[in-house]
Amino acid sequence: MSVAAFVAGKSARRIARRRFTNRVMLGLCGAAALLAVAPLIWIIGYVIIQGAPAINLEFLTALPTPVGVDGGGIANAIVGSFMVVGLGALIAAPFGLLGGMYAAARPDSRLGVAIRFATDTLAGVPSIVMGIFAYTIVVLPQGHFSAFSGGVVLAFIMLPILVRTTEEMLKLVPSTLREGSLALGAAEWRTSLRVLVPAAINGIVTGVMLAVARAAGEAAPMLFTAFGNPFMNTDYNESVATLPHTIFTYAISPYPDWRAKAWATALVLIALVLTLNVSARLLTSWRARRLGTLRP
Amino acid sequence: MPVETLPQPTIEPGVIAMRPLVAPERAPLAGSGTTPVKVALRELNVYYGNFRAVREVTLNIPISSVTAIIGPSGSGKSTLLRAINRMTDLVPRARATGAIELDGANVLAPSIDVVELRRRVGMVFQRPNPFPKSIYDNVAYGPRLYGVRGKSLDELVESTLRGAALWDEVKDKLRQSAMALSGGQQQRLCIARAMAVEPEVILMDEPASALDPRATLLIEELMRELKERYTIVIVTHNMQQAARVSDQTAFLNMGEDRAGYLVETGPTTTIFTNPRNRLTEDYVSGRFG
Repeated sequence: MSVAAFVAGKSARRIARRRFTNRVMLGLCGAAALLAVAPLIWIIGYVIIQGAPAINLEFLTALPTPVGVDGGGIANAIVGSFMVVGLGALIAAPFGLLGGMYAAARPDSRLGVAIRFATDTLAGVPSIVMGIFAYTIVVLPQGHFSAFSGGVVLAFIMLPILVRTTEEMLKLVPSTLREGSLALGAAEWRTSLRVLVPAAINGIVTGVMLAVARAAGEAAPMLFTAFGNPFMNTDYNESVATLPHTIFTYAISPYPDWRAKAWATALVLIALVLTLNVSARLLTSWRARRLGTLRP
Repeated sequence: MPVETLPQPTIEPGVIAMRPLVAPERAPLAGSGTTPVKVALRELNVYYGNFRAVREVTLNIPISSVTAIIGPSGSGKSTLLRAINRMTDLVPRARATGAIELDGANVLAPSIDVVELRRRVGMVFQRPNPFPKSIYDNVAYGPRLYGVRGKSLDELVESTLRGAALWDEVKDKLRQSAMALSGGQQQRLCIARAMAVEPEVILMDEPASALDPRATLLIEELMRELKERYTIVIVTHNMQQAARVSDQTAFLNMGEDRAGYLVETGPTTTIFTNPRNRLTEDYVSGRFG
């Protein structure tokens, strides 16, 4: 019996049921997708509603005021966050990118396997543990809290993200490009630097942004390192305020004014990370359009 | 440890592409017995781990000619080709025994500098693989490795693109992405990229199999022009193509141990009209493979 005859025989009811099942499952998947997007919209919306009223120029440019005094801002925390995140990225980027390049070039070597295992484990270490670790190796020997120690702990947090995204993105570059370069007599390092990294640059930049965003939002390790500081400080040897730590301090306070400021600070943090992310993407996609770089 | 370099003509950077496109005399026909041998395979075996992919191939590749390697899938054609510029080194646990002599020097010797070898033996791949860079940067990539810069680089890029019959199509968009070119143009760009380091031998691994018939024709025309200056070895599935472009043809087949071995080699006309071996006759007449 042919398939057509079989279908005709078993017929209409079965086909209708299949169509129905198909629709139901599609609907379920769609609902799940919607649910996955919902928290993001909800969070951002809530933070905007709660935080926006307290945001004005003074909030962004002034220093905090004591409890009970109106006004004041979080300029010290904005500057402090840039300091620790910037230092962290500066320390972690070379190790992360070069390590990722090695892991992509020699995935089956002992060191390659070790890098993957170590970074995956490191990524799973709670950030508060990292904070205590940095406290032990930097703060205690120095004898005081500092922006420097904050940068160090954020470097530890960024490192695994940088290594893994760099590695994964380099692996997405077709091996034919690598072969094309090697066949011209280019050495492996040159091939990585001039062909593979430019081809994967979008993904690598995305990885850096992810790492920066993750680090910028860390409050727990800041308790042990940057510590917080109500005054403006640009000295890496002194303690500094940071945005997530400020959110934490304000949010657990009993004063309504401070709690409002916690929401506003959260909004500033989200806005900064988002701006950084979008501008990096615009930059790389402009480059991609010009040179036809692979898009992840 | 001193690195043994292959004997080679001295070349000045910058003027290397200025040689005339057409050689003063046409190279003598392959197989005539008088043609100097550029590449000689001597009892070449290539292994991937314990698996032997190529078995005991001995083959002379004459200078300034096109040698086609034909054979069914799995007969070791690509492996053999990739052994010549040691691209097989990239495969973990791959190794080659026997000898591959380039102007008499064994390229399988551990002391050979593969970077220098690959400059002298260029390669074009099955699918066009231009770098995601501008057209100019694609051609300039190789010469830059050897320190060619500035105006001489501009001249080299132009003469190379002319040599690859691509100049007129791309001269107004050298700074645009190579990814925007058509597949056929991309493949000719890849040929230009290989030519730009002035290799002596160009290996082509089914260079037209991903292209449409018109682009294929252009590549074949280009190969006929290029053999005046280069020794070309092409792997192809397409027997008409082998018949059209090559002077010499080598027929590989897969043995019972699944290793590729050389059945027969000779002038292309002989292989296609009057082969000695029954297997060759069956293959070129389309009865198997």
